[in-house]
Amino acid sequence: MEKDESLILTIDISSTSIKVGLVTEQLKIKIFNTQELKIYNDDLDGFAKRFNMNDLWKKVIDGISFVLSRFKNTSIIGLSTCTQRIASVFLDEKGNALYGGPNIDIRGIDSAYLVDDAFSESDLFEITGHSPSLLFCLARLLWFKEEAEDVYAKIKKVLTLDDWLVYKFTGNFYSNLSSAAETQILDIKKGEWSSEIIDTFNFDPDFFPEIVDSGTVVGELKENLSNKFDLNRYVPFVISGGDTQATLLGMGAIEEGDIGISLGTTAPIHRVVDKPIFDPNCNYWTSCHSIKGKWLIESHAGNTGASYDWFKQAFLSSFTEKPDSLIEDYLKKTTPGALSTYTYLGPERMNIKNTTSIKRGAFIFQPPIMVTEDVPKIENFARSVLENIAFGIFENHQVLSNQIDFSTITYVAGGMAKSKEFCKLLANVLGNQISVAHIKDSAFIGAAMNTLIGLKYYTDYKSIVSNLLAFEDVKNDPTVSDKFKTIYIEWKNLKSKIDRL
Amino acid sequence: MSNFESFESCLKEIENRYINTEKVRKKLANYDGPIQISFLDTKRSVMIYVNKDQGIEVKDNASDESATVKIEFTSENILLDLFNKELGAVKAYSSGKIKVVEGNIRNLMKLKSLMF
Repeated sequence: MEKDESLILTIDISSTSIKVGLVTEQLKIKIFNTQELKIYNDDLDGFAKRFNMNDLWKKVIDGISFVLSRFKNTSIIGLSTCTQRIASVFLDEKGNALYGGPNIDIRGIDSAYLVDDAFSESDLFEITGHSPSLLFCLARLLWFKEEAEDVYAKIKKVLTLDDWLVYKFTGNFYSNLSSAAETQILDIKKGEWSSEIIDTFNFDPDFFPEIVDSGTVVGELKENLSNKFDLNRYVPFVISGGDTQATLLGMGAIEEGDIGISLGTTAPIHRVVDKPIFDPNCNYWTSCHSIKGKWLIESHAGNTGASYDWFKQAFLSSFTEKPDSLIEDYLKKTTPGALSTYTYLGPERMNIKNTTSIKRGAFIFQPPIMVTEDVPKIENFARSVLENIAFGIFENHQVLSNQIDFSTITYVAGGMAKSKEFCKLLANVLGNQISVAHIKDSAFIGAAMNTLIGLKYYTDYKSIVSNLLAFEDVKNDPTVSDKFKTIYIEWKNLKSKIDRL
Repeated sequence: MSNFESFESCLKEIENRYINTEKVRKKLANYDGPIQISFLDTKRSVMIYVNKDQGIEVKDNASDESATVKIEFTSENILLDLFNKELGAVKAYSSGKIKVVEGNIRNLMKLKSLMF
């Protein structure tokens, strides 16, 4: 049993799971526990979704109990959390959750007209850097005002999911720029709640918690919790915020021009910038990084990890318990283009504000009636899924890298970065070297980095990256990259036809 | 038991929702584009003309190529299923039973209350 080690307790609530981990001061993950994050339909149509907040909190507590039971007699020097962006929680005056909704809750579709009637698309985008209105906390809050007036009347606090964890652990109300930026209520340039938006919709200004920088100590673990977990009396809570921003920290994307690819359930791709820059077409989002004075431009490739997981579950799970290593083998023994087998599962260039139909998924391949032996096998289909994911990332990476006139580094982390073969494929499709974080669960690392800043172990993120993070550079093969240029064009040409189905 | 047993009763319901629900009219207070709904199984088309919060007209067996919003249903039964709450709108979209051929997201959000 480990003794007398100083560890950071980190919690990451992603789109699909609740993860609790212990991280060392040197940013090594000692242990983590993963539980499923359940999401419930709140209407027949499937627009409205919600969490069961009691169940969610119980899983957080269970996860903490589990990891601490494996590392007794350790000293927890701090606690930090990061969560899926866009998720919101509304509390009543006693601090009970009236509503907790995930990033896929689009109940705001019924109330977004209020936003759209009050602000032109460009005016709202110039304040918030985000579109379309149906996705965000602003439209959800208006939904309650319009459709559930009795609930709205009880709302006393409007929080992001990460802010809610701050409250549950410390009893204090705080937010931070990385989370608040994803509510469509934050003035991105000023870094404060938008008085224009709050006044327009007559919201109570006290709904919104004080905003502090990520890496700030915002309280200490409540006494009943430190007793429950048998921890030292003083465990400082350091605020982190959005899991994507934490992932970017943990992969090392902190300098102007850096591009970070977060390979999770979805694949947001961010470029770090020194000032807020807004897309004139109101498509690519502008958010706040965890680092003061750094903003992010986001282009999003869509359901990348979700597509990968679906393929494993639908096609491989019946004959293997290790689908990831099987896919690794498939990638090794197949060649780019996968016998002209092309997959269309969703990953593509971000065009979120104009997405008005859900596109059909498709495999395009050479059928067995052809007079040839070169019909695709499961390994070719597997490769084509991974190529679809890489092409989707490429299209978004291209948008961001074309905006930079100096050389830049592309960092990669997240679950799919655990596949060496996929990282090679991605580098070849991008036509560029990528820098893959040694620890792929970077959100934990980012939250722990914020803790080290909050506890003043380090004064800046750059020192942490250079001293504690390790990377593997995956170089592209120029010959393979050239092949992929042609394959991508074929894939893209077919895509325009598939999209019309 | 189904509330809506015929295609025509669904069209009538679209009018009723507009006429009888203040919230629906409020949502459409700034909307005046023609909406075309087509049904691929019967080649039937319906035009819906919303004049902001001043009135609505639903014309069966009518079409307008220049409609600002065009929605395709794979069959007339899908409309019945939606109105009878036997099929959710998101499921209908994701399975390709409903397709938006033309129209921006801002307008479509406003129209949801008429049809779903």
